[in-house]
Amino acid sequence: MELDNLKSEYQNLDNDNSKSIENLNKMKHSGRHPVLKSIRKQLVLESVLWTLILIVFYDFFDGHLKEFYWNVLLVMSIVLVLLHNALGFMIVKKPINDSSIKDSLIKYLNKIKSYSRISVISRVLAVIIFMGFLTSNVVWDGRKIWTSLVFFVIMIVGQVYFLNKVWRQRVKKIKSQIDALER
Amino acid sequence: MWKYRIVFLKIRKVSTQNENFLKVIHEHQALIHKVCNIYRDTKEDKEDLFQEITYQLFGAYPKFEGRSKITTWMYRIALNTAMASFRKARVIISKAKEIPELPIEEKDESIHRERLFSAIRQLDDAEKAMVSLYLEGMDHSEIADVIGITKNNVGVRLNRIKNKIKILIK
Repeated sequence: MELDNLKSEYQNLDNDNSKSIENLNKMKHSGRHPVLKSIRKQLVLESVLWTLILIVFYDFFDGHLKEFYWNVLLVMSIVLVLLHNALGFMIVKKPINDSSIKDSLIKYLNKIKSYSRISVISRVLAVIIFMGFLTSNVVWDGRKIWTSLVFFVIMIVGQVYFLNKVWRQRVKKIKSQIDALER
Repeated sequence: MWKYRIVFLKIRKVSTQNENFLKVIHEHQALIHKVCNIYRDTKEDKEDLFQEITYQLFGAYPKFEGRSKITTWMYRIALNTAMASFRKARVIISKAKEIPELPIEEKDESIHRERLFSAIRQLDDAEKAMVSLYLEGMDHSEIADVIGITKNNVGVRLNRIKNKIKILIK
């Protein structure tokens, strides 16, 4: 059977899994979107966690003993992480709609490239500020400096490595789709 | 008072547009199912992709300018979504890389058709997009517009794809 012979059959293909109007109507809401649903779950969980930290940090982590700017920086870094999560949600939510598939993919690639940079930078900044806040009134000696330094470096490198890995895979996927269209 | 009236009229217009578009999606949903069948293997993945495409269609519809046929526009959004979406990693129990051999006496058309679809599923995502538009009956210039490449390139690519499929189903 040649590909051409399949044309009319393909055009008249019926599907057993036909959806009702009611069912289709439900799908226009982001709550039914599989990717958005999982992002939202993660977003809510992270937001609750960070907001809790925001509420209790002053008492639990002795905010009153720290310099004022450390408190401000900590609040700003948490807000940054929350904003970054919301941005990720908006990127997936926004329709992929350009004049052609290639143009849409190119635009989408640029968008996720910028988002990945923001993602890595905001996480690293948040970790650095959080660590800085926790250790801001420690009386440093040689051993403490080295122990903290090793811990800091591991935390930051770990964050950068995992985030970078996830984003590199995504960018690579879209890039390969564009390359395949241009081939 | 005027402001409220304008807002009310706008809401009513959007609501009517949504209802009409819902009917359009319902009428042409086979198109979405075909894209899902070509791009995804498992039932769950197909269902997820169907939902993603429908969601994107609703989001993109207010910007539909009517420059192309509604089905061409739907195909563009559907293929775009299929190519750009990031799937959740699933454990694949078994995935046949080879197309199953048929007994010589087996001449049933539907089995041949299934073999052909299996071959299409083995193409890369860009080739799948071209084949699905071609099978839908679009000419080279329409395919070129949807994909964003030249008409000549479409011709060359389709010939290559046809040869590839012939080898795959040999």
